[in-house]
Amino acid sequence: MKSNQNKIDCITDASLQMYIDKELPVETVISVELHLKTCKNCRQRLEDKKEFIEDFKNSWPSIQENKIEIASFRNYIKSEHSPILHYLKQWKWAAAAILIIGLLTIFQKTSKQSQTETQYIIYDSQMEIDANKPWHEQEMEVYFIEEKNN
Amino acid sequence: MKTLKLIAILLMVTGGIKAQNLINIYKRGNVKLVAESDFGKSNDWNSVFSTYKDTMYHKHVGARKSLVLLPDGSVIVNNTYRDFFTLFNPDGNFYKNFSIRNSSDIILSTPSIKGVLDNEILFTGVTNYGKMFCCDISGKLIKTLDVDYMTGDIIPLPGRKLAIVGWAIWDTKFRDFLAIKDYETGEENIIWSHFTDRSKDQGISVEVSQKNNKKSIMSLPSLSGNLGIRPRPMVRLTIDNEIMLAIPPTGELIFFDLDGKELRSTYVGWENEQTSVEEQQELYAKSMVKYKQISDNKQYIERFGSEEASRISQELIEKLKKEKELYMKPEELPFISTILQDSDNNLLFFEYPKEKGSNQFNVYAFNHGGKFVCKSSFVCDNYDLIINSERLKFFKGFLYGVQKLKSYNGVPLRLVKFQLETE
Repeated sequence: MKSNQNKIDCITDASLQMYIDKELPVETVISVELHLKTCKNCRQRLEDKKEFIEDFKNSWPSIQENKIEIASFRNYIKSEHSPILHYLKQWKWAAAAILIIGLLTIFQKTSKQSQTETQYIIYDSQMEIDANKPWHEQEMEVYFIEEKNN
Repeated sequence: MKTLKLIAILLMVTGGIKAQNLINIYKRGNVKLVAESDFGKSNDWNSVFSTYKDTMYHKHVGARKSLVLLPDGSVIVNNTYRDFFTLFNPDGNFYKNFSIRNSSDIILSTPSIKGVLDNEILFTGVTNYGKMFCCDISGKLIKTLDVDYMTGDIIPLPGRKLAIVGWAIWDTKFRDFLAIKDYETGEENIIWSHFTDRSKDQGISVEVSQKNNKKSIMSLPSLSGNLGIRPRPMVRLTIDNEIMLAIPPTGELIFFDLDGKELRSTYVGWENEQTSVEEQQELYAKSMVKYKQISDNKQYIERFGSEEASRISQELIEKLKKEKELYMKPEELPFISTILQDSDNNLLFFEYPKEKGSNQFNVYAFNHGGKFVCKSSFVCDNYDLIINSERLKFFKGFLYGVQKLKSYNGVPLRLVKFQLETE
């Protein structure tokens, strides 16, 4: 994952989010807060993150007729793997090695392109299926996806 | 040796009678759920479930509870969005609230407890950053497992393993999969995987510009008839120690052994329902009204400005109009809405009912493979039943639930123990 940090010792995006969510262990919280005192960049990133979350949360309620509940943000990283590399994993090592040597040059560029990481910020409402209600009365699921190609 | 054999035979006979009892109740038609009056009778429910009044973003969320049965019959009730759990004695009376704490005695913000591993380890759902917490019965953190994807069902398996239904968003598709995770090593083995086209499941999306010039994609529930519900696979462990993965949209049931080897697959033995054209058209009309209202909606205007709110409204309406023909034909419904597993390990497959309250379930016995037994449904005089596997759990022949009384002035939510009777 490529974070937005500018300095090596700055707080990662993941840690910032965990700090907001109160998911960090206490010793890490202390070091995060110490760093925030001295780093303007991270303070700004923290505020941006909080603002984004609040903005987003506030934008939803009216259109869903009070049916949607707000669950959480999920900041999730998924690598798009090359199908070719995926299949190679299934083969025996010997055959794979021979093929890799033969095709490496050809597919090198393709593999690099297909393995770009995409960051998805998913706003994902929890739904509750009720087998006592018809389909059209079930609560709806809404998710909001922001994609950032790094 | 004779004694041992006799005991073994007696156990088998007892088990057989018990299994037959539940099945016989189902076979007789509708199953009447009768709440045990002594269960939890000492509780002041207004106090025990004071979180019932919780709201979030002006929405009532306090009724959202789920439960987990412990091996001794105690019950943990999850208080969604709160960092504590409510523990009830086996008699249903409140015992205490507790939280999951780390080694520094700090309360962790954790998702709901999902189940019990190896009869002693509680495991939670997964946090935003892919952490699953495992603790003892007192809430003391034992271990944190990494789960770097979004999850559905999580069930314990023998040998300190977990079966996890996961899903992830790829650039162009959704991936649903089933993983087996080893609690001790954290190692994970994906034993089944399926991709679906994201464009079909994503619903209607529009790019929106916020006032701060940030651009984002707003994805509303799919309007192509499926109401935005993307039924995810469900996983259960059968009495034969086979992992059963159920695929609601197709009705496929896939069986694996505990090592993840696929054994066989089959399909549920009933036809799925369809929505009517009238219901589809009603949905279309409702969606159109909602989208038209966006241009005058205060919150949209505050966030995006009136010009952008009008543009969003217009774009949504245009996209909806393009999908109109989808609303002119019936929509096939998933075969399964939820699966309950009774304490004799029969599986109750619920469909989506045509009418509210007319829940229908298909009972399958899973001794040595699945065998359809009968069709039945639950009825209850005093409670408005909400039926899903998070809110209703079988334990030793009884059905435990977190359910709402039909009419009550105070907090109507109850932890309730139902006896199953024939109507």
